[in-house]
Amino acid sequence: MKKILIVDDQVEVRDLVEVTLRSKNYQVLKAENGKNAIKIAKVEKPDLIIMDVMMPGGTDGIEATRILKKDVKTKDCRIIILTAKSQETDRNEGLEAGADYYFIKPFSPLDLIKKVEEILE
Amino acid sequence: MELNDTRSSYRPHILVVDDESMIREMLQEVIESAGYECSVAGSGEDALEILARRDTDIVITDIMMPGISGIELLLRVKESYSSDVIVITGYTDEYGYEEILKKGASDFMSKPFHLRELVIRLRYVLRQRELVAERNKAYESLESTNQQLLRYGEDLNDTILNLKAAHQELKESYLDTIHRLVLAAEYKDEDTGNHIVRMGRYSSYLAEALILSDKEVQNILYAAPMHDVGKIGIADSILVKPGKLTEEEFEVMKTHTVIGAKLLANSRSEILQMAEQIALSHHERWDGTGYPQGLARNKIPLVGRIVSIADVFDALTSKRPYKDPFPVEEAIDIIEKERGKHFDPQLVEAFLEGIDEVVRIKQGVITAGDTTFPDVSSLKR
Repeated sequence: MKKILIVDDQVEVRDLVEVTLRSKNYQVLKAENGKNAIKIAKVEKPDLIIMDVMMPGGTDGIEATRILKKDVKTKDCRIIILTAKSQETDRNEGLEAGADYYFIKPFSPLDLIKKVEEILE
Repeated sequence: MELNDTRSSYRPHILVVDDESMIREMLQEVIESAGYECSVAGSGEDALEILARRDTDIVITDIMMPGISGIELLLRVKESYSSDVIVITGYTDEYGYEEILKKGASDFMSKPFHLRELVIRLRYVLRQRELVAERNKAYESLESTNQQLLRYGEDLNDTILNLKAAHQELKESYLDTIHRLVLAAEYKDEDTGNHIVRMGRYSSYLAEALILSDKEVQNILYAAPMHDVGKIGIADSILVKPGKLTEEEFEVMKTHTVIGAKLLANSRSEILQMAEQIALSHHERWDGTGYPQGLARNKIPLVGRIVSIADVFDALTSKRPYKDPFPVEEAIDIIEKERGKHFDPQLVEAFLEGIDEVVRIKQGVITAGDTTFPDVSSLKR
Protein backbone atom coordinates (compact mmCIF):
# COMPACT_ATOMS: atom_id res chain seq x y z
CA MET A 1 0.00 0.00 0.00
CA LYS A 2 1.37 3.43 -0.95
CA LYS A 3 1.95 5.84 1.91
CA ILE A 4 1.00 9.52 1.71
CA LEU A 5 1.85 12.23 4.24
CA ILE A 6 -0.49 15.24 4.35
CA VAL A 7 1.06 18.39 5.83
CA ASP A 8 -1.18 21.37 6.58
CA ASP A 9 -1.77 23.54 9.63
CA GLN A 10 -5.50 23.66 8.89
CA VAL A 11 -7.24 20.56 10.16
CA GLU A 12 -10.05 21.09 7.63
CA VAL A 13 -7.62 20.82 4.72
CA ARG A 14 -5.91 17.75 6.20
CA ASP A 15 -9.29 16.06 6.61
CA LEU A 16 -10.54 17.02 3.14
CA VAL A 17 -7.40 15.73 1.45
CA GLU A 18 -7.60 12.53 3.48
CA VAL A 19 -11.23 12.00 2.48
CA THR A 20 -10.31 12.72 -1.14
CA LEU A 21 -7.67 9.99 -1.11
CA ARG A 22 -9.71 7.47 0.86
CA SER A 23 -11.36 5.88 -2.19
CA LYS A 24 -7.92 5.02 -3.55
CA ASN A 25 -6.76 2.86 -0.69
CA TYR A 26 -3.63 4.74 0.32
CA GLN A 27 -2.20 4.75 3.80
CA VAL A 28 -2.52 8.33 5.02
CA LEU A 29 -0.33 10.08 7.61
CA LYS A 30 -0.80 13.66 8.77
CA ALA A 31 1.35 16.47 10.16
CA GLU A 32 0.42 20.04 11.10
CA ASN A 33 3.74 21.79 10.47
CA GLY A 34 7.02 21.52 8.57
CA LYS A 35 9.08 20.30 11.52
CA ASN A 36 6.80 17.40 12.33
CA ALA A 37 6.53 16.58 8.63
CA ILE A 38 10.30 16.14 8.44
CA LYS A 39 10.33 14.04 11.61
CA ILE A 40 7.57 11.73 10.37
CA ALA A 41 8.98 11.52 6.83
CA LYS A 42 12.36 10.30 8.12
CA VAL A 43 10.75 7.45 10.05
CA GLU A 44 7.86 6.51 7.79
CA LYS A 45 9.42 7.22 4.38
CA PRO A 46 6.14 8.03 2.63
CA ASP A 47 5.89 7.63 -1.15
CA LEU A 48 4.34 11.06 -1.45
CA ILE A 49 4.03 14.20 0.66
CA ILE A 50 1.28 16.75 0.06
CA MET A 51 2.71 19.94 1.53
CA ASP A 52 1.17 23.27 2.49
CA VAL A 53 3.50 26.30 2.38
CA MET A 54 2.35 28.83 4.98
CA MET A 55 2.46 27.09 8.34
CA PRO A 56 3.42 28.40 11.80
CA GLY A 57 6.28 26.91 13.78
CA GLY A 58 9.34 28.10 11.90
CA THR A 59 9.75 25.64 9.03
CA ASP A 60 7.40 26.50 6.18
CA GLY A 61 6.54 24.09 3.36
CA ILE A 62 9.21 25.43 1.01
CA GLU A 63 11.92 25.09 3.63
CA ALA A 64 10.68 21.61 4.59
CA THR A 65 10.72 20.56 0.93
CA ARG A 66 14.29 21.79 0.55
CA ILE A 67 15.39 19.87 3.65
CA LEU A 68 13.57 16.65 2.68
CA LYS A 69 14.97 16.66 -0.85
CA LYS A 70 18.52 17.07 0.48
CA ASP A 71 18.30 14.30 3.09
CA VAL A 72 19.37 10.84 1.87
CA LYS A 73 16.60 9.23 3.90
CA THR A 74 13.81 11.28 2.34
CA LYS A 75 15.08 12.54 -1.00
CA ASP A 76 13.08 9.90 -2.90
CA CYS A 77 9.74 11.04 -1.45
CA ARG A 78 7.72 12.74 -4.14
CA ILE A 79 6.34 16.11 -3.01
CA ILE A 80 3.23 17.96 -4.14
CA ILE A 81 3.00 21.50 -2.83
CA LEU A 82 -0.59 22.51 -2.10
CA THR A 83 -0.90 26.19 -1.26
CA ALA A 84 -2.93 29.37 -1.50
CA LYS A 85 0.20 31.17 -2.74
CA SER A 86 -0.66 31.55 -6.38
CA GLN A 87 2.03 33.83 -7.84
CA GLU A 88 4.31 32.59 -10.58
CA THR A 89 7.30 33.44 -8.35
CA ASP A 90 5.82 31.31 -5.56
CA ARG A 91 5.47 28.39 -7.96
CA ASN A 92 9.07 28.77 -9.14
CA GLU A 93 10.29 28.89 -5.57
CA GLY A 94 8.41 25.67 -4.80
CA LEU A 95 9.74 23.84 -7.82
CA GLU A 96 13.27 25.10 -7.19
CA ALA A 97 13.04 23.77 -3.64
CA GLY A 98 12.54 20.36 -5.26
CA ALA A 99 8.76 19.87 -5.32
CA ASP A 100 7.49 17.53 -8.05
CA TYR A 101 4.29 19.46 -8.58
CA TYR A 102 2.69 22.72 -7.48
CA PHE A 103 -1.06 22.86 -6.76
CA ILE A 104 -2.99 26.03 -5.90
CA LYS A 105 -5.80 26.27 -3.32
CA PRO A 106 -8.69 26.07 -3.59
CA PHE A 107 -7.95 22.89 -5.48
CA SER A 108 -10.09 20.52 -7.50
CA PRO A 109 -10.22 17.17 -5.67
CA LEU A 110 -10.60 15.34 -8.98
CA ASP A 111 -7.45 16.98 -10.34
CA LEU A 112 -5.60 16.21 -7.12
CA ILE A 113 -6.50 12.52 -7.25
CA LYS A 114 -5.45 12.37 -10.88
CA LYS A 115 -2.10 13.97 -10.11
CA VAL A 116 -1.47 11.75 -7.09
CA GLU A 117 -2.17 8.62 -9.13
CA GLU A 118 0.03 9.87 -11.94
CA ILE A 119 2.94 10.58 -9.60
CA LEU A 120 2.63 7.28 -7.71
CA GLU A 121 2.28 5.13 -10.80
CA MET B 1 12.81 33.90 11.36
CA GLU B 2 11.35 32.19 14.41
CA LEU B 3 10.92 35.59 16.02
CA ASN B 4 8.06 36.57 13.78
CA ASP B 5 6.41 33.22 13.74
CA THR B 6 5.83 32.23 17.30
CA ARG B 7 3.67 34.12 19.74
CA SER B 8 5.78 33.37 22.78
CA SER B 9 8.91 35.14 21.52
CA TYR B 10 7.09 38.00 19.83
CA ARG B 11 7.77 41.44 21.34
CA PRO B 12 5.19 44.13 20.57
CA HIS B 13 6.50 47.39 19.19
CA ILE B 14 5.29 50.64 20.78
CA LEU B 15 5.92 54.09 19.31
CA VAL B 16 5.88 57.07 21.68
CA VAL B 17 5.26 60.51 20.14
CA ASP B 18 5.78 63.64 22.24
CA ASP B 19 7.57 66.93 21.67
CA GLU B 20 8.94 66.97 25.21
CA SER B 21 12.02 64.79 25.38
CA MET B 22 11.74 64.24 29.12
CA ILE B 23 8.30 62.70 28.81
CA ARG B 24 9.46 60.60 25.81
CA GLU B 25 12.37 59.19 27.76
CA MET B 26 10.30 58.48 30.82
CA LEU B 27 7.66 56.62 28.86
CA GLN B 28 10.29 54.71 26.91
CA GLU B 29 11.89 53.47 30.10
CA VAL B 30 8.61 52.27 31.53
CA ILE B 31 7.59 50.56 28.29
CA GLU B 32 10.90 48.81 27.81
CA SER B 33 10.99 47.57 31.37
CA ALA B 34 7.50 46.16 30.82
CA GLY B 35 9.13 43.96 28.14
CA TYR B 36 8.10 45.75 24.94
CA GLU B 37 10.14 47.24 22.11
CA CYS B 38 9.89 51.01 22.11
CA SER B 39 10.67 53.73 19.56
CA VAL B 40 10.28 57.46 20.15
CA ALA B 41 9.47 60.39 17.90
CA GLY B 42 9.53 64.13 18.70
CA SER B 43 6.86 65.04 16.16
CA GLY B 44 4.00 63.64 14.14
CA GLU B 45 6.14 63.86 11.01
CA ASP B 46 8.94 61.81 12.57
CA ALA B 47 6.37 59.32 13.84
CA LEU B 48 5.00 58.77 10.31
CA GLU B 49 8.51 58.12 9.07
CA ILE B 50 9.07 55.44 11.70
CA LEU B 51 5.66 53.88 10.98
CA ALA B 52 6.55 53.59 7.31
CA ARG B 53 9.73 51.68 8.17
CA ARG B 54 8.59 49.45 10.96
CA ASP B 55 5.54 47.39 11.93
CA THR B 56 4.08 49.07 14.97
CA ASP B 57 1.47 47.70 17.34
CA ILE B 58 0.61 50.80 19.31
CA VAL B 59 1.24 54.53 18.84
CA ILE B 60 1.06 56.61 22.02
CA THR B 61 0.76 60.26 21.10
CA ASP B 62 0.41 63.64 22.75
CA ILE B 63 -2.08 66.05 21.16
CA MET B 64 -0.44 69.41 21.37
CA MET B 65 2.73 69.31 19.29
CA PRO B 66 4.38 71.64 16.79
CA GLY B 67 3.75 70.49 13.20
CA ILE B 68 0.90 68.05 12.78
CA SER B 69 -1.11 67.53 15.93
CA GLY B 70 -1.70 64.25 17.71
CA ILE B 71 -5.24 64.22 16.33
CA GLU B 72 -3.99 64.64 12.78
CA LEU B 73 -1.44 61.87 13.40
CA LEU B 74 -4.24 59.66 14.75
CA LEU B 75 -6.25 60.18 11.55
CA ARG B 76 -3.26 59.45 9.29
CA VAL B 77 -2.30 56.31 11.22
CA LYS B 78 -5.84 54.98 11.03
CA GLU B 79 -5.92 55.71 7.32
CA SER B 80 -2.78 53.77 6.43
CA TYR B 81 -1.85 51.39 9.22
CA SER B 82 -3.37 48.74 11.44
CA SER B 83 -1.65 50.13 14.55
CA ASP B 84 -3.72 51.04 17.59
CA VAL B 85 -3.44 54.60 18.90
CA ILE B 86 -3.58 55.77 22.52
CA VAL B 87 -4.04 59.52 22.83
CA ILE B 88 -2.69 61.55 25.77
CA THR B 89 -4.44 64.86 26.44
CA GLY B 90 -3.47 67.83 28.58
CA TYR B 91 -5.80 70.12 30.60
CA THR B 92 -6.17 72.63 27.83
CA ASP B 93 -7.08 70.31 25.00
CA GLU B 94 -10.48 70.91 23.55
CA TYR B 95 -11.12 67.26 22.61
CA GLY B 96 -13.37 65.11 24.72
CA TYR B 97 -12.99 61.41 25.32
CA GLU B 98 -15.81 60.39 23.00
CA GLU B 99 -14.61 62.58 20.17
CA ILE B 100 -11.14 61.07 20.27
CA LEU B 101 -12.49 57.52 20.28
CA LYS B 102 -14.75 58.40 17.35
CA LYS B 103 -11.70 59.45 15.36
CA GLY B 104 -10.31 55.95 15.79
CA ALA B 105 -8.26 55.97 19.00
CA SER B 106 -8.29 52.75 21.01
CA ASP B 107 -7.81 54.45 24.34
CA PHE B 108 -7.29 57.78 25.98
CA MET B 109 -5.30 59.07 28.97
CA SER B 110 -5.30 62.54 30.49
CA LYS B 111 -2.35 64.19 32.12
CA PRO B 112 -1.22 63.72 34.73
CA PHE B 113 -1.34 59.94 34.79
CA HIS B 114 0.33 57.25 36.75
CA LEU B 115 2.99 55.32 34.84
CA ARG B 116 1.62 52.03 36.11
CA GLU B 117 -1.73 52.97 34.58
CA LEU B 118 -0.02 53.37 31.20
CA VAL B 119 1.32 49.82 31.33
CA ILE B 120 -2.10 48.45 32.27
CA ARG B 121 -3.71 50.27 29.35
CA LEU B 122 -1.00 49.05 26.97
CA ARG B 123 -1.59 45.46 28.04
CA TYR B 124 -5.31 45.90 27.59
CA VAL B 125 -4.96 47.31 24.06
CA LEU B 126 -2.44 44.63 23.12
CA ARG B 127 -4.85 41.95 24.33
CA GLN B 128 -7.57 43.49 22.17
CA ARG B 129 -5.17 43.41 19.20
CA GLU B 130 -4.47 39.76 19.82
CA LEU B 131 -8.18 38.96 19.94
CA VAL B 132 -8.82 40.82 16.70
CA ALA B 133 -5.88 39.06 15.06
CA GLU B 134 -7.19 35.69 16.23
CA ARG B 135 -10.66 36.52 14.97
CA ASN B 136 -9.29 37.61 11.59
CA LYS B 137 -7.24 34.46 11.32
CA ALA B 138 -10.24 32.30 12.18
CA TYR B 139 -12.31 34.16 9.62
CA GLU B 140 -9.67 33.71 6.93
CA SER B 141 -9.42 30.03 7.72
CA LEU B 142 -13.19 29.68 7.54
CA GLU B 143 -13.29 31.59 4.28
CA SER B 144 -10.61 29.44 2.64
CA THR B 145 -12.30 26.26 3.85
CA ASN B 146 -15.53 27.57 2.43
CA GLN B 147 -13.88 28.20 -0.95
CA GLN B 148 -12.40 24.73 -0.85
CA LEU B 149 -15.75 23.13 -0.06
CA LEU B 150 -17.27 24.98 -3.00
CA ARG B 151 -14.66 23.35 -5.24
CA TYR B 152 -15.62 19.99 -3.80
CA GLY B 153 -19.24 20.80 -4.60
CA GLU B 154 -18.35 21.63 -8.19
CA ASP B 155 -16.37 18.43 -8.63
CA LEU B 156 -19.15 16.43 -7.00
CA ASN B 157 -21.61 17.96 -9.43
CA ASP B 158 -19.39 17.06 -12.40
CA THR B 159 -19.01 13.55 -11.05
CA ILE B 160 -22.76 13.11 -10.69
CA LEU B 161 -23.39 14.38 -14.22
CA ASN B 162 -20.76 12.01 -15.60
CA LEU B 163 -22.21 9.10 -13.65
CA LYS B 164 -25.69 9.94 -14.89
CA ALA B 165 -24.46 10.00 -18.48
CA ALA B 166 -22.61 6.73 -17.98
CA HIS B 167 -25.70 5.21 -16.37
CA GLN B 168 -27.89 6.37 -19.23
CA GLU B 169 -25.47 4.89 -21.75
CA LEU B 170 -25.36 1.63 -19.85
CA LYS B 171 -29.15 1.52 -19.64
CA GLU B 172 -29.48 2.15 -23.35
CA SER B 173 -27.01 -0.55 -24.26
CA TYR B 174 -28.74 -2.91 -21.82
CA LEU B 175 -32.12 -2.28 -23.45
CA ASP B 176 -30.55 -2.54 -26.88
CA THR B 177 -29.07 -5.91 -25.93
CA ILE B 178 -32.44 -7.15 -24.69
CA HIS B 179 -34.03 -6.03 -27.93
CA ARG B 180 -31.46 -7.84 -30.06
CA LEU B 181 -31.80 -11.03 -28.03
CA VAL B 182 -35.55 -10.88 -28.55
CA LEU B 183 -34.97 -10.42 -32.26
CA ALA B 184 -32.65 -13.43 -32.22
CA ALA B 185 -35.27 -15.52 -30.42
CA GLU B 186 -37.94 -14.55 -32.94
CA TYR B 187 -35.71 -14.70 -35.98
CA LYS B 188 -37.38 -17.80 -37.40
CA ASP B 189 -40.89 -16.92 -36.33
CA GLU B 190 -43.43 -15.10 -38.44
CA ASP B 191 -43.33 -12.08 -36.17
CA THR B 192 -41.48 -8.99 -37.24
CA GLY B 193 -39.20 -6.72 -35.25
CA ASN B 194 -41.97 -4.16 -35.41
CA HIS B 195 -44.38 -6.58 -33.75
CA ILE B 196 -42.29 -6.80 -30.63
CA VAL B 197 -41.84 -3.03 -30.49
CA ARG B 198 -45.60 -2.45 -30.90
CA MET B 199 -46.28 -5.09 -28.23
CA GLY B 200 -44.23 -3.08 -25.79
CA ARG B 201 -46.01 0.14 -26.68
CA TYR B 202 -49.55 -1.23 -26.52
CA SER B 203 -48.79 -2.85 -23.18
CA SER B 204 -47.14 0.26 -21.82
CA TYR B 205 -50.08 2.37 -22.97
CA LEU B 206 -52.53 0.05 -21.26
CA ALA B 207 -50.46 0.05 -18.08
CA GLU B 208 -50.53 3.83 -18.11
CA ALA B 209 -54.32 3.88 -18.67
CA LEU B 210 -54.67 1.58 -15.64
CA ILE B 211 -52.64 4.08 -13.61
CA LEU B 212 -49.76 1.74 -12.82
CA SER B 213 -46.61 3.43 -11.49
CA ASP B 214 -44.26 5.19 -13.92
CA LYS B 215 -41.69 2.51 -13.21
CA GLU B 216 -44.08 -0.30 -14.15
CA VAL B 217 -45.22 1.57 -17.25
CA GLN B 218 -41.54 1.86 -18.30
CA ASN B 219 -40.69 -1.71 -17.37
CA ILE B 220 -43.55 -3.27 -19.31
CA LEU B 221 -42.45 -1.34 -22.40
CA TYR B 222 -39.24 -3.39 -22.35
CA ALA B 223 -40.57 -6.58 -20.76
CA ALA B 224 -43.57 -7.22 -23.03
CA PRO B 225 -41.45 -7.76 -26.17
CA MET B 226 -39.87 -10.78 -24.45
CA HIS B 227 -43.18 -12.64 -24.09
CA ASP B 228 -42.31 -15.22 -26.75
CA VAL B 229 -38.57 -15.78 -26.16
CA GLY B 230 -39.37 -19.36 -25.15
CA LYS B 231 -40.07 -20.11 -28.81
CA ILE B 232 -36.32 -20.47 -29.21
CA GLY B 233 -36.78 -23.87 -27.52
CA ILE B 234 -39.46 -25.08 -29.96
CA ALA B 235 -38.38 -27.33 -32.85
CA ASP B 236 -38.44 -25.67 -36.28
CA SER B 237 -40.67 -28.46 -37.58
CA ILE B 238 -43.39 -27.16 -35.27
CA LEU B 239 -42.50 -23.48 -35.05
CA VAL B 240 -42.53 -22.78 -38.78
CA LYS B 241 -44.82 -25.58 -39.87
CA PRO B 242 -46.87 -24.27 -42.81
CA GLY B 243 -50.13 -26.11 -41.99
CA LYS B 244 -52.20 -26.55 -38.87
CA LEU B 245 -50.51 -28.11 -35.82
CA THR B 246 -51.61 -31.53 -34.58
CA GLU B 247 -52.83 -31.72 -31.01
CA GLU B 248 -49.48 -33.17 -29.96
CA GLU B 249 -47.55 -30.47 -31.76
CA PHE B 250 -49.74 -27.83 -30.15
CA GLU B 251 -48.93 -29.26 -26.71
CA VAL B 252 -45.24 -28.80 -27.54
CA MET B 253 -45.90 -25.31 -28.83
CA LYS B 254 -47.58 -24.38 -25.53
CA THR B 255 -44.33 -25.06 -23.66
CA HIS B 256 -42.81 -21.86 -25.07
CA THR B 257 -44.40 -20.08 -22.10
CA VAL B 258 -42.60 -22.26 -19.56
CA ILE B 259 -39.35 -22.27 -21.51
CA GLY B 260 -39.46 -18.47 -21.73
CA ALA B 261 -40.09 -18.15 -17.99
CA LYS B 262 -37.16 -20.47 -17.28
CA LEU B 263 -34.86 -18.47 -19.55
CA LEU B 264 -35.81 -15.28 -17.76
CA ALA B 265 -35.97 -16.67 -14.21
CA ASN B 266 -33.86 -15.55 -11.24
CA SER B 267 -32.74 -12.24 -12.68
CA ARG B 268 -31.96 -9.27 -10.45
CA SER B 269 -33.32 -6.96 -13.14
CA GLU B 270 -36.87 -5.75 -12.51
CA ILE B 271 -37.49 -5.75 -16.26
CA LEU B 272 -36.48 -9.39 -16.62
CA GLN B 273 -38.49 -10.35 -13.53
CA MET B 274 -41.56 -8.80 -15.12
CA ALA B 275 -40.70 -10.45 -18.44
CA GLU B 276 -40.60 -13.84 -16.71
CA GLN B 277 -44.16 -13.29 -15.39
CA ILE B 278 -45.33 -12.17 -18.81
CA ALA B 279 -43.71 -15.09 -20.65
CA LEU B 280 -45.38 -17.55 -18.29
CA SER B 281 -48.84 -15.98 -18.16
CA HIS B 282 -49.58 -14.25 -21.46
CA HIS B 283 -51.53 -17.26 -22.79
CA GLU B 284 -53.70 -17.64 -19.69
CA ARG B 285 -57.37 -16.73 -20.19
CA TRP B 286 -59.75 -14.83 -17.91
CA ASP B 287 -62.13 -17.83 -17.80
CA GLY B 288 -59.37 -20.22 -16.76
CA THR B 289 -59.14 -22.16 -20.02
CA GLY B 290 -55.72 -20.85 -21.04
CA TYR B 291 -52.24 -22.34 -20.59
CA PRO B 292 -49.84 -23.39 -19.16
CA GLN B 293 -51.35 -23.23 -15.65
CA GLY B 294 -55.04 -22.65 -16.41
CA LEU B 295 -55.16 -19.67 -14.07
CA ALA B 296 -58.33 -17.59 -13.97
CA ARG B 297 -59.25 -13.98 -13.28
CA ASN B 298 -57.06 -12.13 -10.78
CA LYS B 299 -54.89 -15.23 -10.31
CA ILE B 300 -53.34 -14.27 -13.66
CA PRO B 301 -50.69 -11.60 -13.12
CA LEU B 302 -51.92 -8.20 -14.30
CA VAL B 303 -48.99 -7.79 -16.69
CA GLY B 304 -49.88 -11.15 -18.27
CA ARG B 305 -53.48 -10.00 -18.78
CA ILE B 306 -52.27 -6.75 -20.33
CA VAL B 307 -49.86 -8.41 -22.76
CA SER B 308 -52.50 -10.97 -23.69
CA ILE B 309 -54.76 -8.26 -25.16
CA ALA B 310 -51.84 -6.44 -26.80
CA ASP B 311 -50.60 -9.69 -28.35
CA VAL B 312 -53.96 -10.73 -29.78
CA PHE B 313 -54.76 -7.25 -31.10
CA ASP B 314 -51.43 -7.03 -32.87
CA ALA B 315 -51.70 -10.55 -34.30
CA LEU B 316 -55.18 -9.76 -35.64
CA THR B 317 -54.20 -6.46 -37.24
CA SER B 318 -50.88 -7.71 -38.69
CA LYS B 319 -50.25 -9.45 -41.97
CA ARG B 320 -49.20 -13.08 -41.74
CA PRO B 321 -48.10 -15.48 -44.48
CA TYR B 322 -51.47 -17.23 -44.14
CA LYS B 323 -53.75 -14.18 -43.64
CA ASP B 324 -54.29 -10.55 -44.47
CA PRO B 325 -54.46 -8.04 -41.63
CA PHE B 326 -57.93 -7.57 -40.15
CA PRO B 327 -59.26 -4.01 -40.16
CA VAL B 328 -59.15 -2.39 -36.72
CA GLU B 329 -62.97 -2.45 -36.43
CA GLU B 330 -63.03 -6.20 -36.89
CA ALA B 331 -60.24 -6.69 -34.34
CA ILE B 332 -62.24 -4.53 -31.91
CA ASP B 333 -65.31 -6.72 -32.45
CA ILE B 334 -63.35 -9.87 -31.75
CA ILE B 335 -61.79 -8.46 -28.58
CA GLU B 336 -65.14 -7.13 -27.42
CA LYS B 337 -66.67 -10.60 -27.84
CA GLU B 338 -63.87 -12.10 -25.73
CA ARG B 339 -64.61 -9.77 -22.83
CA GLY B 340 -64.85 -11.92 -19.69
CA LYS B 341 -63.89 -15.03 -21.68
CA HIS B 342 -60.38 -14.60 -23.02
CA PHE B 343 -59.78 -11.15 -21.55
CA ASP B 344 -60.14 -9.27 -18.29
CA PRO B 345 -63.30 -7.17 -18.84
CA GLN B 346 -61.81 -4.13 -17.16
CA LEU B 347 -58.80 -4.26 -19.46
CA VAL B 348 -61.03 -4.59 -22.53
CA GLU B 349 -62.81 -1.49 -21.30
CA ALA B 350 -59.60 0.47 -20.93
CA PHE B 351 -58.24 -0.80 -24.22
CA LEU B 352 -61.32 0.19 -26.20
CA GLU B 353 -61.58 3.52 -24.44
CA GLY B 354 -58.08 4.33 -25.63
CA ILE B 355 -58.47 2.77 -29.05
CA ASP B 356 -57.57 6.06 -30.81
CA GLU B 357 -54.18 6.06 -29.08
CA VAL B 358 -53.78 2.35 -29.85
CA VAL B 359 -54.38 3.08 -33.54
CA ARG B 360 -51.88 5.92 -33.42
CA ILE B 361 -49.29 3.54 -31.96
CA LYS B 362 -50.13 1.03 -34.66
CA GLN B 363 -49.56 3.67 -37.32
CA GLY B 364 -46.19 4.30 -35.87
CA VAL B 365 -46.95 7.67 -34.33
CA ILE B 366 -44.74 7.79 -31.29
CA THR B 367 -46.07 9.70 -28.33
CA ALA B 368 -43.87 11.77 -26.09
CA GLY B 369 -41.71 9.97 -23.58
CA ASP B 370 -41.45 6.88 -25.68
CA THR B 371 -38.05 5.32 -26.02
CA THR B 372 -37.21 4.47 -29.58
CA PHE B 373 -35.53 1.20 -30.20
CA PRO B 374 -32.69 1.07 -32.69
CA ASP B 375 -33.95 0.00 -36.09
CA VAL B 376 -32.77 -3.52 -36.72
CA SER B 377 -35.69 -4.62 -38.88
CA SER B 378 -33.41 -4.83 -41.90
CA LEU B 379 -31.82 -7.84 -40.23
CA LYS B 380 -34.96 -9.81 -40.92
CA ARG B 381 -35.39 -11.88 -43.98
